[in-house]
Order: sequence, then structure tokens, then C-alpha cells
Amino acid sequence: MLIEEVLASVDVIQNPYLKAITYARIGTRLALAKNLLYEKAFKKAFDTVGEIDDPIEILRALLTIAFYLGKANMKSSKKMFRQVAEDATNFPKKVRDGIFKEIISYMLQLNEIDEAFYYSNYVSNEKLKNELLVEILKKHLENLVGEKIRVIHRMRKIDLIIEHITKEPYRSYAIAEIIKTYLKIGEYDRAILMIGELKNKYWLKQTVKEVLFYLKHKNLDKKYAGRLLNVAIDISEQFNIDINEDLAVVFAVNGDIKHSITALKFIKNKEQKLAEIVKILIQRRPEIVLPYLQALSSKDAENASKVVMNYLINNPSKEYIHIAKYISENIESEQVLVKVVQYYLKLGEVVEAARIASGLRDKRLRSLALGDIAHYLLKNNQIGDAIDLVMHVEDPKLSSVLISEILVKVVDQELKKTSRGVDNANS
Amino acid sequence: MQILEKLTGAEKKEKIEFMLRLIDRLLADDDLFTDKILLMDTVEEMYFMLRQLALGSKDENLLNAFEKVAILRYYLQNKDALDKEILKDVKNSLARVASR
Repeated sequence: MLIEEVLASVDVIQNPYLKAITYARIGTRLALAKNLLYEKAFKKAFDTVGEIDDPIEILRALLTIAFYLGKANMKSSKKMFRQVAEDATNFPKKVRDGIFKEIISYMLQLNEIDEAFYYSNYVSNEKLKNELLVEILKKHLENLVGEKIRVIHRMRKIDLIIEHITKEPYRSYAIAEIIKTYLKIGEYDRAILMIGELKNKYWLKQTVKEVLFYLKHKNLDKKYAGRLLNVAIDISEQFNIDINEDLAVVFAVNGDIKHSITALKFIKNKEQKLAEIVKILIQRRPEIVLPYLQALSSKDAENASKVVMNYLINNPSKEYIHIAKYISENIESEQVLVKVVQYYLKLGEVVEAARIASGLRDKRLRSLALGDIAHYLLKNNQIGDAIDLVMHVEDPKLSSVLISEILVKVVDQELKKTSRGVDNANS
Repeated sequence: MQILEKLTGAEKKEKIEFMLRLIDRLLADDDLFTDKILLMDTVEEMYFMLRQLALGSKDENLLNAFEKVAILRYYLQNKDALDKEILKDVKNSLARVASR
């Protein structure tokens, strides 16, 4: 029998720890194949443990054997784990924690969540304990997604485990994982309620975002957005975590303008924050900018438009021309309109720029806008048009500068012409 | 002054721990992040967080992490792909910052 020969050959392995584990691994395979030699293999494994000198090593070997017994579906596995756990309590804290960490890792591999949770109680280092509990929770959540039966019972276990995860950052991370699972199994109300447990600003923001996007994909965002916003605002007030600004961004980026503006109402220094929000929007979701401006009150829209125009002037692209057009038609502030003129000039839309500039009532601003246009014309060598324009510039300081520019430019051109004439005569 | 330093140190630590776990989530191949805008926004969030931390910092690992996340963001914006290898590099650099 080859298998018997193999079992006899294991003896050549010198390291007794490895030898014991090898017997156990063979034992598992035999047991699963219903080969009765498994008993012999496991017995040999136990016998070999006696050859190990180091007591901690003995415990670790026993744990591994217990694990392989578990994999072979042997009932004695659990008993062995208990026995080793009991023995481990006699060791100093650090060693003990190490052993329990191993036990828990084996339990998770055997998918024994309850057992793993039970052993986590014995871990004395708080940080390690929290870390292990997060692992246990994650495994439990994994099981939850696949299975539909006894979900209620399993959800209660989630609450039990999370109660024991008390340290940050583990707690926030664990809650974020729970929320993700709730979303996947369709427990949207629970997911939103769970957000209330988050006390970390970054996780709060990230999770609200994730929930919102997930609901949007399920076409449920309209139904739950209000509730989501309320929970988030509650927390931010209760724990003094200022995320309203972030919420306004999150909702806006998601295209939910109505709720974004609701969130905006709770912001303290609104003007400055609005500017930041609009800036993010135009960078990340330019298509939202126009409807957003339309939804804002006229004063807010004016401030927001200023930010938008500043951005457009620095990043002139034809893509955004409809936004500029909307602003030029709907925003009364002439300061903003001057910016629109500048944007049109950057795009080379002189006629449109001139049309808006001529409509400005404020003398100083009109001069400024006309000056910009004249400057543009000069740059493009349309001196005749520029001179016409300068006649309308009423600000004496500005018109002087422009006239000076024009005169110099005319001389430049004249000189160029004559030098070309000379060149021609010479050739 | 000491209190202030302590406070800012705590904030930095909090941010780095948050990002480390966020990266774990991104690496986990979760269908949560199949949404392009959410993915983009999450990476963008990390980019700005790291930029703020890296500015004025002399920590080589932190600067490395920022550099990598900037590349990651560029790829995502221009090539439409989340490069997991670069994301792992960001994680490794951040882990080194955290272990200090």
C-alpha cells in the first residue's frame, strides 16, 4: 500500500513540528476520502508532538492539528481548540495574545464565526483585539451577502460584534463595511441608520457618498436622499463634525441639486463654502454647473457665477460657452459680466464680447471691458477697430494707456511695412 | 504650542489611517466602485488629502505616496483605468508613514 509507505516515510522529516503537521495534512485528505487510515495518520501526528521541546511550539502544533481535524470535519477539533486555549491562559500576556490570534485565524478559515468571536474575548491587547474583531466581522458579512436565510438572526450578530469594536480607526472602518453589506442585501434603512454610528469625519463623508451612489444605481436615490441628508446633518450637529459643506458637494456631484442646496443652508460661512463647492463642481462635474446656478437664489448665483467665470477665464474652452451665455443673460452683477467679456475674448468671440460690454451701465466697468477688447484687437492687429473702441472708453486713465499702445503699434506696423518695402527694392 | 502640535499630529494620523483602509476597499474589487464618478471622486479625495499633507512635509514616504496618487489620478482621468499596482505603491508608502 503506497499510502502506508508514505505514512512511514514521513518519519524522515527531522523537524518534529513539521513532521506532526505533515501527518495531520495527510490525515485530513484521507478522512475526506473516507480512507480509514486517517486514524493512524492523526494518531501519529499526536505522537510526534511529544518530540517537540518548546512548550509554545507544542501548543502551536496542537492548534494546527486541531485545524486539520476541523477541515476533516472531526468533532474532536473544537474540543482540542478549547483545551489549547485553556492551556494558553497560563502563559504571559504577549504569548497568550499570539496564540489566540492564531486560534481566531484558524476559526475564520473553518468559517466558525461564533467560536472566533468567543476567543476574541481572551485577547488582552485592545488594539489587536479590535483588529481581530474587524476580521471576524468581515468574514461574517461575507457570509451574509451570499445567504438569504436567517438574515435577521445574522444581523443581530453584527450588532453584537460591533459593540465590542470600540477603538478607532477600527470602529469606523467596521461600520463602513457593515453599511456596504446592508446595501448589498437591500437593507437600505438599516444602512442609513448605521451612518449615525460614524463619528469620524472622513468616513462619514465617504460613506454618505457611497450610499448615495449605490442608491442611485438602484434608482432609489430620490426615495432615500432626504432621509440620508437628515441623518448626516444630525450627526454633524451632534458631534460637531462639520461636513455640511462636504454633503453639499456630495449631493451636487451626484446630480442631486435640491438636496445639495438644502445642505448648503446649514453651512456657517456660506459664501466662501459655496465658492469652494462651485469650484469642485466645475472641475469634476461641469455638466451640473448650469442647473446648479439656476437652482441657487439670485445672490448666491451671483457669487457662484463669479467663481465659475474666474475658472473659465483660466481654462478657456468652447465647451463651457453655454454656461457663460446663461450667466451673461441672467446675472445682473456687472462685475461678473466683465468677466464674461474676458472669457469671450479668450475664445476670440469679439462680437459677443463687444455686445455685452456695450450693455454695461457702470462707467468704470464699461471702460474696463472696452479696454480689454481694444487690447485684444491690438494684439490681433485690428488697429482701426481698436481706435473706434477707444473713443468709447470714458475712463481717462485707461484710454490714455490704450491710445499710447495704439500709437506704438501703428509705428511698429509702419516700420515693418517700410522695411519690407526696402527688402523688396533690394531684391 | 505643544497641544497644537499634538492635535495636528493626530489629524495626520487619522487621515493616513483612513486612506490606508480606503485603499483596502478600492483593492477589494468591490462592485461599489464600478461607478466611475464615485471611483474618480474617491481617488480625487485622496489626492487632495495627500497633497495637503505632502505640502511642507519632508517625509520622503509621504511625498512618494503623493507622487504615486498623482499618477494614479492622471491615469484615471486620461486613460480611464484604475492602476492597481500604483494603488498598491501608494498603500505601501502610506503604511511606512504610519509605522513611524
